[in-house]
Amino acid sequence: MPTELVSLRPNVRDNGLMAIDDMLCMHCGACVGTCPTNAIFLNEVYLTFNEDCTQCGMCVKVCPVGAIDYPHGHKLTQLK
Amino acid sequence: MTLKYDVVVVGAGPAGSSAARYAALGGCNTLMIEKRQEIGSPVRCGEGIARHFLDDCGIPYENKWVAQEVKGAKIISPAGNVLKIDEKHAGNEVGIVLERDAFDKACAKLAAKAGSEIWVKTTAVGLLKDDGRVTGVRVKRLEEEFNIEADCVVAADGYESQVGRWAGMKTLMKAGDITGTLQYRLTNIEPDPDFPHYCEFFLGTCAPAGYIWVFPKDECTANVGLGISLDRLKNKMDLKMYLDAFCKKDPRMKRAQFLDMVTGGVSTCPPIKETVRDGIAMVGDAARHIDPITGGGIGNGCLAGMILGKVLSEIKERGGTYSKEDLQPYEKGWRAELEETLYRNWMAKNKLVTLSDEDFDKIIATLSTAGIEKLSVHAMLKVIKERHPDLVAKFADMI
Ligand SMILES: Cc1cc2nc3c(=O)[nH]c(=O)nc-3n(C[C@H](O)[C@H](O)[C@H](O)COP(=O)(O)OP(=O)(O)OC[C@H]3O[C@@H](n4cnc5c(N)ncnc54)[C@H](O)[C@@H]3O)c2cc1C
Ligand code: SF4
Ligand code: SF4
Repeated sequence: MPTELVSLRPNVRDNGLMAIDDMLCMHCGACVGTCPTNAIFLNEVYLTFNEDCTQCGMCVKVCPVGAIDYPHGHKLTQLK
Repeated sequence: MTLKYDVVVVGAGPAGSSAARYAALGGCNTLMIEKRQEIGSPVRCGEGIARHFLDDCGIPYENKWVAQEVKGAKIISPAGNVLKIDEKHAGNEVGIVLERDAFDKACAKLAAKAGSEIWVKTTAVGLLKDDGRVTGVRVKRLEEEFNIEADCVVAADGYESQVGRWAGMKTLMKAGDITGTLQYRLTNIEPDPDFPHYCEFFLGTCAPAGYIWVFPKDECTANVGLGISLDRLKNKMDLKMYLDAFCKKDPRMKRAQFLDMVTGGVSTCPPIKETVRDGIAMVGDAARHIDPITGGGIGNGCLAGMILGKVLSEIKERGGTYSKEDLQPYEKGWRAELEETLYRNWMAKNKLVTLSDEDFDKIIATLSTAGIEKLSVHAMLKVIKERHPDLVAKFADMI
């Protein structure tokens, strides 16, 4: 019998510039301290990007669990 | 109603607690705020600290934050050459492996006992300024958002450090001076004669421009982590790939299981130019007080926090204004204790990242037969100079 995925809570948010996977993020702040334009805000368990982001990609690489990506590079965005 | 304190410390890590404690002891009306709901948790650390920091900073020893006491450090080259160093001389991370959550709470308790107020689940979201001078913080505490006035704000908000930047201080780093870290706490580690008596450091391409650490927590559990310089990370999740490869290769970890997973950023930069401005001072990871070679920052944070707290007390006592000038004794004080080592180790780090696996094999083999006792950059360079003139070219300007 084929299994059917009934509900999938969306866990990737993006602001057009960068995307964050909320289920992966460990809220460690490594990306926040690394970002050269101070474009990431982390309120303990909720991370957002602002429009100062230059899409330099430093946060993508420093994130130890791969929670950040470009909106179109993201594996879940590609699924759509 | 306006809230007003002499000192508001943002961030209840070891550096913040130490600053709050010594400021309160000296009579400052002090508040420390922490954005997490629990001080010290989740742990974001390898948990190693050299014993002397406890005495240096007046932190009384308590069993409840000691997981394991070690005899020393084992430094392991890619080919498996081992250098053992006694804990007294093994750098700022070796001696005690902490229960960091309990340690951070113990530090906060000392601050409370000294008279500091502590709030949790309270995030600094902005700075109040008047004509260039910092006059307080805007905070969000549970559902309320409001201002707290302060004669001096202490930015002890760790690696992510926003507060200092809001005041205009430069804490940005180059990719080569940033280290991404990932750590697994693994249990069910197989016995080995030296385990759990040493903190282990693995060098070489297992962690490019960084190292892998195995810090024992008990007879079958350890913090196994790695740091890699950001300029060597090419793809998403590279850190995980390197750490998984290491765990797979180490026979002791065949049946190891996860107790937790930790991520974080560590600075490996030279000392920053400015840590005080009118009405604000930075301390700990926020001020990039981490040792650029070991990545250890607990001890340095406690020490710099204590120096800052004492300076704040003196300013209070003489009725000063916490201006940039008033805060100079702190700027000078932490530099006197830490700056030279931080700078030297940053220079040495820049050399170490150029070494190949073969270089590390040679150096570790040489150092272990030379009976080097002290893990100081100077001592190591001396031995390398005597025995391996071929390698010395890379370090010429440091000797
Ligand atoms: C994986 C890893 C392993 C490490 N291993 C070691 C080791 O073995 N030995 C060692 O000595 N060092 C180690 N370090 C470094 C060490 O953890 C830090 O140097 C140390 O925690 C610095 O203390 P601190 O008080 O400056 O900052 P932190 O301990 O980071 O504390 C900062 C606090 O500020 C809070 N905060 C941040 N922003 C705000 C805000 N806006 N409002 C309110 N609160 C805020 C944070 O929640 C946090 O609790 C390691 C680091 C990592 C990431
Ligand atoms: S570095 Fe990764 S895990 Fe850490 S806060 Fe940023 S997105 Fe989350
Ligand atoms: S891509 Fe660069 S500028 Fe944008 S959030 Fe990440 S680190 Fe900051």
